[in-house]
Amino acid sequence: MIFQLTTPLLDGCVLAILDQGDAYGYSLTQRIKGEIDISESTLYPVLRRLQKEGCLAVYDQQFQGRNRRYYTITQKGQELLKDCRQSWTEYTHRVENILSGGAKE
Amino acid sequence: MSKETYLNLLRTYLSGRLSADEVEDITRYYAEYFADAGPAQEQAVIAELGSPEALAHQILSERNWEEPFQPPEYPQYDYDAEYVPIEHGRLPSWAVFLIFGAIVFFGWPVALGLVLGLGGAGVLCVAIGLGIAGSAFTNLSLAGALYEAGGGLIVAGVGLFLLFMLIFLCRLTVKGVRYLWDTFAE
Repeated sequence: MIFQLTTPLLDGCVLAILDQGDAYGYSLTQRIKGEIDISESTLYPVLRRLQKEGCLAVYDQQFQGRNRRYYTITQKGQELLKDCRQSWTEYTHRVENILSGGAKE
Repeated sequence: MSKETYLNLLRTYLSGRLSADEVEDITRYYAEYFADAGPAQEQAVIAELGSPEALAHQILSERNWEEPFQPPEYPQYDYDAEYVPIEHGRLPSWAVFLIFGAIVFFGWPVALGLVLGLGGAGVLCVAIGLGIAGSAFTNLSLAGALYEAGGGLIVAGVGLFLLFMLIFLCRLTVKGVRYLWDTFAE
């Protein structure tokens, strides 16, 4: 069964990965794809939007004679990540309640 | 296709729809993506990304990150502007005189013919018509008198019509000359 990964969730996932360490486009994509089936073309708009919102920043670094653009989480990004984690915990609890039959009739 | 072709096509499909900076960023992102994947993975990456057109389409449809893109300004047609007749070139007075002179020089027989023809015929008809109508008074039979009166008046009417035509043509000519003068003379 496929559950849609909505935009706020995807934002959260990207920020969570970056929270563990800066990453460049390809590594980020591979990391997410390892867990969730998303298409490469989905990730660029997410990164761009988060950057515009100030949740992450970019910097360039030379690697093997070429440029590599790294993404890094910002203060604002960390706050958003925290909100996202909270919302997710609440959400999953409620869904879990219903699914496991715990909700009152 | 090769990585270079892919990236060029992607850039082409995005250009014009996004700002130049944005297009460059996107192209650079995917150029780096290819580079990080490694040359061995080039075709695999292309397979994953889909056609450059599809990728461009997806990026364009998901772009909620940007300021509204302002397309280049095209000159706007001002529908409210008043119509101003086109000012065409004017000629110096002597040139206009010359042209009029040429028209008169070559056209005078026609003009004369019209005047004499219409005028003469007109006057003649009126005269003859009135004459015929007049002789009705001396006609002894009623039918004959009516015939002469009616016929005479008809002929006179035709004559008047011809005269009016002549007057009309004269006035038209004057108007035309005046218009041409106003339009073309300095």
